[in-house]
Amino acid sequence: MKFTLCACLLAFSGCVSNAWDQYPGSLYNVLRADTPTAIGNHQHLLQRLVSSAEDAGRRPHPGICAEFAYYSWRIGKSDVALAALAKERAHYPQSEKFVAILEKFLPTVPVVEVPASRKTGGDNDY
Amino acid sequence: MTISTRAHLLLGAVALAGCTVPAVKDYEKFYEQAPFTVIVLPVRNHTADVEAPKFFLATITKPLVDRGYYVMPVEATSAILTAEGLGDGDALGAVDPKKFRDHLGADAVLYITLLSWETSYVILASSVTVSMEYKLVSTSTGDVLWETAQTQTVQSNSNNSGGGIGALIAMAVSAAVTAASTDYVPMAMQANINSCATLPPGPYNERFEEAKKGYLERARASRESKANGSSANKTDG
Repeated sequence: MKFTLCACLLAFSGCVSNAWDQYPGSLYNVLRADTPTAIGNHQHLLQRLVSSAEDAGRRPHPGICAEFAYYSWRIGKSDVALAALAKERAHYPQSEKFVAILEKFLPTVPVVEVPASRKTGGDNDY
Repeated sequence: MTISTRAHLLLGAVALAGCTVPAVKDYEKFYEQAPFTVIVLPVRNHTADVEAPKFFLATITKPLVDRGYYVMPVEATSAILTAEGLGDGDALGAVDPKKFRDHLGADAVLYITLLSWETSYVILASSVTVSMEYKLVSTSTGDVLWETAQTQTVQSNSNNSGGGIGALIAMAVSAAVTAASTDYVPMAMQANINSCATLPPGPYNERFEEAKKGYLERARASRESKANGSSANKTDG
């Protein structure tokens, strides 16, 4: 029983760490070519980072919920974006001013159409 | 003066040097302001490689976050600053740091300048020699809170531990493929990690308070040592 629990925890922490290790490469893909696929992939990676941290009872890395909100908005998931901003405020009160500015800015951000293969479910996937 | 006397003088000098407290890098302003939120501006590029700045911009967030800072998302902040009419790219380097507090709520702004970027490929590995400057500036006072300039040579991933001719051939093929596909993200990442290692832990780092306390103690010891040295000199005079 203990062994299984340890194995699960190790596998899980490996998964989180792996997503965090993938973050720079994923962001580079967006900075290099701001394509719908790159944006969709990055949003998906951020979603994994947020949900895996919360599943583990930790707060996501600072700034990650705000970034997740930005890319979620860019692919048309406005509800997911606003929920992510609310979480950022709660987790990192020092980001309040930035989050308020980002919230005001998001409606001006153009939405891109993400290829169907990168659509990762509905608005509950946050 | 005999050799023995010289040796004793030298030993005395070494012992004296051992007693003095080494100078401490000045982080007084850093700890006074303890910046939580950091905006990273687009990397200023002094090289001919137009892609290199993107490698560094994409790979700076993770080491800064791991160090304990709140890093504002680089693309979102860039879009906001452009919309606010503050400019983009290199033009942002000329903006008054205080505006990043007014427009985004950032406590500090990080300027990164890429001075040189040289790639080289040999049979078994590829590497990059890069010279960078980093400067963290307070958006409240304009004070420089931390800065470093480094030249580093970073190797491509070379953790192949196998042996024999087969492994060597595999490594050579890997280097050739690396040269062709030029995946510099891990190398830029390593350069950023090495540079950020000289940055004091940020407020979200669990070692922040401990590092602050240690710094303040070392700084006080250094000041006292200087004061003692100066009063001893006056006495000698």
